[in-house]
Amino acid sequence: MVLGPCSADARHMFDGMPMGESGKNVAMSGGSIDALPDDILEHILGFLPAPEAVRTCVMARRWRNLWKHGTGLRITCIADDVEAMETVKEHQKFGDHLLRLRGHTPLETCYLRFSNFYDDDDALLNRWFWHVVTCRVRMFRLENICLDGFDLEGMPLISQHWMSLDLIGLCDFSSGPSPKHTEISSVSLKHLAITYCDLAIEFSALMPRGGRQHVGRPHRPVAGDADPALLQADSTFPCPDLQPSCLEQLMRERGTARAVAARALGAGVDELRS
Amino acid sequence: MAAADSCDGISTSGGGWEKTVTLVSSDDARFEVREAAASLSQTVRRMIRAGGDGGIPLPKVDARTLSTVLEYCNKHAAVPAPAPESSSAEAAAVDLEWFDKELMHVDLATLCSLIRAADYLEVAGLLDLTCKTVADMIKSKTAEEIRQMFGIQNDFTPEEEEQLSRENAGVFE
Repeated sequence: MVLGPCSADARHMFDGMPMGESGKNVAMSGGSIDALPDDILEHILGFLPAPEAVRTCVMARRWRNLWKHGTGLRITCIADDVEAMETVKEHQKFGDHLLRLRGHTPLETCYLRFSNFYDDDDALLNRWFWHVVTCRVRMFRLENICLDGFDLEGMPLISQHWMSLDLIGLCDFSSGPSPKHTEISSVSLKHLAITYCDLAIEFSALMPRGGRQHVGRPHRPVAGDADPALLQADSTFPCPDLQPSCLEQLMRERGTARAVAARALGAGVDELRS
Repeated sequence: MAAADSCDGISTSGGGWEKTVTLVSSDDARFEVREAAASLSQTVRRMIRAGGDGGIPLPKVDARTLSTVLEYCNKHAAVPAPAPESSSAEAAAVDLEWFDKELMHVDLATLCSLIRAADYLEVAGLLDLTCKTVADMIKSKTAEEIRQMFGIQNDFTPEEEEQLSRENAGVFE
């Protein structure tokens, strides 16, 4: 990636940004935020939108690399101007640079929201998605607000780290009018929500007592000619606590996907994907 | 919610018998709390399991901070688990959100004490709430405004600032 020329004095990076309303009830001076340990500051930065978290690096030496260890990552590729086009592309430089700098530092939460993308943005978004998965993210929300169908590649979705997974506005173009079978495997997942997705999803995991929990096709069609009632539908599937031993049993039962799962379990999904 | 009355660790609350525990702050104040509420703290939960007499000592939390932490725990432990998507679940969520917002109307020093206490006591919900409150204060402010607000000294040399801006030009433009 080519970096642009030196364009701004670090001291003035925030200049011109509006004052926020938030925090007005809190004393505006003193306090001991800077006395808090690094891990707490990293947790705080995880609640900021990614660009604002990154910008804290100019505050002082101590803050220079804190954002790279933020426990949350919030990337939104939506222009303020709804007429603006190619908004994902506009964020490519930022997103790629950010993920390269933070590497595979573990993540608690990730929100990836986007809209207005073109076909060749799919590769970019997929790259980001799988990068985040390799960060062992526990709560992941992938939200395409445009409802024009984002094709998530690299199925099946497997992670032994997910606690919560929200997929919104996804589809599968690769198999024609009938969506291919999409599988999500996770031993750790406790919350799974699939909304406005045109996917035939099967959530494969074993219940504590040994029965597999199936999640059928949520609903289709999606955007455009969809029934409003369907568009408002939301499928949330509470998942019980699942034991690691269950995945082994699951692997014995199923074919190709099991081979992938076996590698994921043995090598760690991060190594598998990187 | 009514505070539990101490009675050898057992008290009546809402018509039923509930187990209580005694927490002791760094300044020796004693708090009688329902075990369900105190157990929102993973640290306390472990100490309850370990057993012991004379209350659970929490030497890193003063009485003022602990009372706010317990206010949070009492409120959040009091919420029953209604069926998801029911109207009562929605109302309970709105009520909790309002309660949380009100609880965060504190000065910065108190907020920092609460963060440290939530971290030490391992009350995950309160740690998230307090950290998010600080994040909201940072939002939309310039670096200099944040430094002033938090009393942070800019200790970069001009050369380092030059280097930083060069490194970050691709991200910030």
